[in-house]
Amino acid sequence: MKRLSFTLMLLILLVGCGTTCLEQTKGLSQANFYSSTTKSALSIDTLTIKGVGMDSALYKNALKITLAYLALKMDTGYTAYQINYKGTIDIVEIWHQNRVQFISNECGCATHRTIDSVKTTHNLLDSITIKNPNINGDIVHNLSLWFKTRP
Amino acid sequence: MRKQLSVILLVCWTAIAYGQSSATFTPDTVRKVPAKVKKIKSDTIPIYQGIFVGLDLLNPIIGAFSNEPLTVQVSVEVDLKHAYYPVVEAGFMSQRTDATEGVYRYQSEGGFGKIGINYNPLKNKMNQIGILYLGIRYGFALFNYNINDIQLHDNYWPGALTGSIHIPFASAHWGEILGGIRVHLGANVHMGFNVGYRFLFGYTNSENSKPGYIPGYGSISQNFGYTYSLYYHIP
Repeated sequence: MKRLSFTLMLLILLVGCGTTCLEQTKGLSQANFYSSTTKSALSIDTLTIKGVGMDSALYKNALKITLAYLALKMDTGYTAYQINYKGTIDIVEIWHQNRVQFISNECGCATHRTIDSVKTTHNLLDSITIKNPNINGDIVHNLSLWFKTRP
Repeated sequence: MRKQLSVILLVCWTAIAYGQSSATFTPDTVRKVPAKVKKIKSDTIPIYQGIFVGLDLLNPIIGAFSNEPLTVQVSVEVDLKHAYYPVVEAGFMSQRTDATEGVYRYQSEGGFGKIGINYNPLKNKMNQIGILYLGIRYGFALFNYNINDIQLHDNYWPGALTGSIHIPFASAHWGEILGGIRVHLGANVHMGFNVGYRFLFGYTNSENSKPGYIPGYGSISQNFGYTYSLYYHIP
């Protein structure tokens, strides 16, 4: 009986390993960069990405980036970003649905989204396409930004 | 963490109490009892050995003094030959988290039932102190839950996403394997502790949520559960 009590106590101590919060709760969209000419992944230097209407930049003169995590607005279903590469500027627009999602007691609530449509100007960018419209906490490739590049 | 600490303290207390009750038997007394008397063949024991009615004391205390759910559980066990204990358990759960604890309030209420059986592997080594047992359970719960005052903010953009989630009817069912000890305190009163590993078979999974707590199961992200019960034995 004493041995059993000891075993039970040991078992309880092992229970202390808690679960980890795997799911992100912010709902960022992942935008990957591609060359519209070669159709391959693209690494860009000195790229600045700033939300339209915001003073601060999300990425400021970022070096050798191949993708960007674009935060989407919480209180509306429309988000616009200004993408600036050495003075050439494009505006990327994203229309999306936001909804609250209860994940767990440990992680709390999260924002899950669905991207409905996208649009861009064409100074620097050739086009923008939706790869996966669902943003649910998993890191997935949501958007593709196709940059104009020289052959 | 607070729950686990409380459980560890209570287990320690059980071990100490057991040690104290053992100490009342002097070495001389123990030596005078023939070994054969302590072993009773199961065939000589009548099938019906009474009923244990139990009340879990641990989870109501934890629920009253922490953010864990308030759970009350009663059990009825039939003692068959001091070996098999068919058991029915039932209770209810109430959970209300404070809005100041986070960016939402979780409220849930519901009832649960469990059926199963305990087995005493030391049935032929009866003693006056108590029993240890292994058991299985099938549990089911019916409940509701509401998540109110949800506010989600972004690190970059201003503004917040607000909302609430109301699930008026949810259900869940699960299995459980457990082990425990029960100590005879005196007269017909017993006290026991058990720890169980629970595994969900299924639950209501709505479009925008899954339950945080299930009555009789506890937090959905935890697999272990404990009870520390007081029993009354009806011969």
